[in-house]
Amino acid sequence: MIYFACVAIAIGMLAFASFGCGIGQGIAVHGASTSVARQPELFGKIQMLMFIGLGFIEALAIYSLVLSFILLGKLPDAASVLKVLSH
Amino acid sequence: MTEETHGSSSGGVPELPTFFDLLPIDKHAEIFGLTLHQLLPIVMSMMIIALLGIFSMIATSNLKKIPGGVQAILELLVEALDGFVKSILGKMSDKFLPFVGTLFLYILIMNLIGQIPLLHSPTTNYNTTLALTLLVFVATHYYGLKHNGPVKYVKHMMGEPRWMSPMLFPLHIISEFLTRPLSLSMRLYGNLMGGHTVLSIFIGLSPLLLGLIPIPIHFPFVLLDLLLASLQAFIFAFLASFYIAGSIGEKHL
Repeated sequence: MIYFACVAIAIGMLAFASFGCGIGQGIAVHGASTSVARQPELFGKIQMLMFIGLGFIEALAIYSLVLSFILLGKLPDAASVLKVLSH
Repeated sequence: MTEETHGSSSGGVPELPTFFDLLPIDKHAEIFGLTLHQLLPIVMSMMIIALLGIFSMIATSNLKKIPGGVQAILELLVEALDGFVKSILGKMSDKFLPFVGTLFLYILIMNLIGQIPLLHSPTTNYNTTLALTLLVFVATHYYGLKHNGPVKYVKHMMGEPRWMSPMLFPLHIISEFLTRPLSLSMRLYGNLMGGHTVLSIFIGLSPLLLGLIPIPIHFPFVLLDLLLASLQAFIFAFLASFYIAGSIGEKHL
């Protein structure tokens, strides 16, 4: 029981990965928008660069999503837990 | 979950129904020793390969000086891809344009086909992305050895300041043989699997208007998924060409 509780808490804590991911994406978009404001003719190149960077940063949060799906498979379903508790 | 999303066998992740559910066969049947759930990405990949091949054959069947219709679309695509690969690989671009361009188009169609109802993206399965990544991995090291020779190849692994080699060599080995393939495959798989899982959860939760008509509350996620799918295909192709360029070395480009 304690083991499954720890797994459930770990799944919840994995959501904190998006905290840092959001800060990183904000910094990236800020840099892109200020550089476009300085030189509007480079909009296409800067946009491509920004999207590549955003894709990399996005992947970090996605890793934790995959991990959470893997851990969700380790948890038992509610019916079997209730059956154990009723005894 | 509702009846719309049948719980799959892979760790309780909900999935949308596919055309396999319409076929009059037993759900637990095994074909070639594979369950239907394992067979679906393979069948979808075969369908996409056939689709791309037939499209290319039709487009290049009677080539004209002044292109019209399908040929014009294909020429636009090839020119854009050529410019993109030239910006990274320089002189070597003619050699690697078929490889990188095929990777990009194949992954793009694989990602986007999941938006059509009753079809399924093969990239939501980790096996597909791992196979694509192993192709890039083998190509990278094969061309690196071919263009530099084994001695220069190991020297490149040693790093720039020679006295730091004992520390840098294991780091390079770990980075090139473990981290790069793992991150490249996990990025594509995780993005696509996450996007499609969010879509299926929201479709399962959608309320019914008058008890009959489902309200499409998942619509914003469809737009997000379209952006994400095209972006991930582009990033995969970009990184494949970038890794190949890095292993060949600056002098040959």
